[in-house]
Amino acid sequence: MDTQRKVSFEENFSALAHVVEALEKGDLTLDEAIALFEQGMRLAKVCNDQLEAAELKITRLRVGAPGQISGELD
Amino acid sequence: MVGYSLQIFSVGQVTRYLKGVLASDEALCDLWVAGELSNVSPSPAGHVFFTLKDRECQLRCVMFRRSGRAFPAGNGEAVIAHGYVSLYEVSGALQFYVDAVQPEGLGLLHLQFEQLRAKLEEEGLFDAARKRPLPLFPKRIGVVTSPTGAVLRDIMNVVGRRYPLAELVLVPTSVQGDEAVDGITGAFETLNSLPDIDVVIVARGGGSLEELQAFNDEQVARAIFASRAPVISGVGHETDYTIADYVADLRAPTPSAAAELAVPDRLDLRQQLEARQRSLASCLADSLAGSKDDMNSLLVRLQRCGPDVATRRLRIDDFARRVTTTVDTHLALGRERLRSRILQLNSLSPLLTLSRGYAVVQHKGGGPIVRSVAEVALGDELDVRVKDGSFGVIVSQQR
Repeated sequence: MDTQRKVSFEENFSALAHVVEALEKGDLTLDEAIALFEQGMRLAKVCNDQLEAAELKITRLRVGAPGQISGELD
Repeated sequence: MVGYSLQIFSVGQVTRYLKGVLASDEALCDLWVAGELSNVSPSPAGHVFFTLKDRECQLRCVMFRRSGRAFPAGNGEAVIAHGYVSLYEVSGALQFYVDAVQPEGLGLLHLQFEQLRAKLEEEGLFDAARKRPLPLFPKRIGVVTSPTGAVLRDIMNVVGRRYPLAELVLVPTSVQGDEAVDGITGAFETLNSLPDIDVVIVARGGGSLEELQAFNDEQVARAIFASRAPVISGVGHETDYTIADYVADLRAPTPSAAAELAVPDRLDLRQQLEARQRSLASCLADSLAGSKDDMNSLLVRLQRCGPDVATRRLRIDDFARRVTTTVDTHLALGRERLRSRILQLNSLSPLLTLSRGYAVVQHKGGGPIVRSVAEVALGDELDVRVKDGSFGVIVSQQR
């Protein structure tokens, strides 16, 4: 499991676009093509999971005195 | 001229003085006047000279050319005009310099709207060039709207359905009435102070011109302009255009439309993902097919250059056959020779001699073969072998 900071959907989505472009360009050894394909499928799965699992978060801010902002998650 | 001092001024001094007096009067510098239009006459340069009058008095007016906007009324119409009063030194005439004029029926609010719009447009707050692009995948979305009512619920529903990956940061404020202007302005200031707001939606539901007034306010307009994040406005109904809509980076016809413009749709994204997965699969399939083709053509070339197994097999078969034939011939020859030797042998065989009637005579008990009369004596016991057996004899006579 990836223990680094969570990669955003946007980053995964555009990484997948790059993988597809690289594969479409051709010019790869069979090993490279297979590796890219696997990486692409992994990225696609992560993206789909992120889309599925998301739940909308809402934060309501309360502004007190100037500069005092407190937020609570709905 | 004795007893009092007399100051004599030039005409220019007097007119300049008068101009100064007028300019220092606050009311005269920012004046709204209602009256009837007459003597409307455009100049060749495109400026419009006219007179505003009521029953007894009149004011000479001039409105400088406004690009693209026709003078909105004609002689005899009741209008409201805004501007400042000054003295035109060249002619000595008092003039009302008008920057906005509107038929009275449309009301003051309308006129003020037009006036503010012209002013802010002039300053560049509406410039297309300064409109900022919206982020494709916003993570934090600021929402400036009333905490009660359908608008917030609609925005939450739209974003929740389309792109729940985002987080909504709600800064609640009233959107009409006395506190609205400060509330909306404060909301934008709050959002500016937060670190990572990607886009802001400012929204309120439909209403009358009076109810939407906060969004035609100059302070609110400047607050929207000063927003760090790009702003999408969704105010009122589709046909309502407020100053806020002009200043915002993008205008939406309704609050729900604003939410739709702010985020991508995950159904779309899923389809794009599927399309990309299909691309991956087909690219890989092409790669594999390509490799297979390469391999096949190499194989063909290999087979063409390699040892010709078929011909070799034929040659081996040929050799084998020839060897077999030779061997057979040799065998046959050998057999033939053997047969003639055997015949020869047979012809020399003593058994053959025996069968012709000769006998082999031996001394009894396997002694030496008798070949001469000198080898036997009277009374000797001898064995006589003939072709089919043997018998014993005694020598009875010698000759």
